[in-house]
Amino acid sequence: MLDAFLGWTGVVFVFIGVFFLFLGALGILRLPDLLNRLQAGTKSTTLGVVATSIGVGLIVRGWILFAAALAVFLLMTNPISSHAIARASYRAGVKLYPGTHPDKCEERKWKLPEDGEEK
Amino acid sequence: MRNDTPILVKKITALSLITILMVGFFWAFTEMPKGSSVNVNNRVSRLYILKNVKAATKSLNSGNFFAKGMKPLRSDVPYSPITFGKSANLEDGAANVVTSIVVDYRGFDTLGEVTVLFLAATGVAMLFFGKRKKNIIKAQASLIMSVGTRIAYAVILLFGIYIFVHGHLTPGGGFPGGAVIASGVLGLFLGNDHYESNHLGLKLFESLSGMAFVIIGLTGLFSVNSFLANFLPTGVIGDLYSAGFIALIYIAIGMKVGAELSAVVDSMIVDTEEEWS
Repeated sequence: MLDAFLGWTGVVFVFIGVFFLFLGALGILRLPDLLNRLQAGTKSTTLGVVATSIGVGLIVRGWILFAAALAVFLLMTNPISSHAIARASYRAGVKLYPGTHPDKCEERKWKLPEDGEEK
Repeated sequence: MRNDTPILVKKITALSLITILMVGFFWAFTEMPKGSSVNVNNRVSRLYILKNVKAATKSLNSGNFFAKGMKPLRSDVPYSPITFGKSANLEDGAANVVTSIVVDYRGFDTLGEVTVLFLAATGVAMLFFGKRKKNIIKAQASLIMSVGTRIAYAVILLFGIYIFVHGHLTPGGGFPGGAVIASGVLGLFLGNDHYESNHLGLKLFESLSGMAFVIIGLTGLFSVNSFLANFLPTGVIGDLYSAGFIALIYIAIGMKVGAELSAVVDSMIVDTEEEWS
């Protein structure tokens, strides 16, 4: 009973993950500029891969520890790498989509903090 | 031999040297063992070379895998089909066949590969030497990067160690494990503004692990009469403590590759003069 319940829960998790991975692929295909695509790719693949691995861990019970470790690692590193890519691309002067209205980074002018000053 | 030596003396000396070398080569090649005097069938590698799995299993099950006149290498263990988690009769006991080929049968070649990587790292260090000692304010990494890379570094280091410790069980090994460790060090360089690696520690680590590789090989030479031969019990296929010395060699390779690639990353990081736009 418990095995069947956990197995079907895992199947549901895997389907949620697959759905979000599909949304990520669709966003990368359809969205106009780099930052939008990065957002679609990162957010949906983080949730998608985490849900898929947790689902696999629930279906095959021996892999739950590996799946949890993988999920924690992805949750830790994926947003950081996405943040670094976005920041570097903005500073390198990648053109934004013309419809991007409130560009807060443009307003801040990205001042370089002097040494000793608070970041 | 000076410049004013007569040319005839030079030619005679060169001719005699060449003759000695040729005689030496000829002698060495004739002294090598002939093919018929070595019983190639003594090795379990026949199991890997026999591609027809069904036929191999059938002959193993019927107990006539060895032809007449052949003797198995280890007579203390009865021959049986190979089973993951149960068998103990393999020559090297590695669950990962590729690892047993790369480290056990072709261990000398792997030593050469490590040397190739060492030469590449030395070349990179020579190319980039002295280009990063400028007092230029590097573009500052954000707080998210500097904290996140430091946390991720520990996990990445652990994962690299996991890869090269389990080299005889999973598709991994010393080279990918070392590359993973170097990627963690790259994250540290990107995330922290004034990060300096411990050059002496890296060099020491690299040299000691390279020496460990050679020392393990020499231990095999002295105990089993062959360089880089397995001298440890092979255990049960699938256990962590199995496959003899493969795990030891992969630990040495992993540490060496990790230290080398970290040194490469260190010499490739060049401070830029870029201003914030």
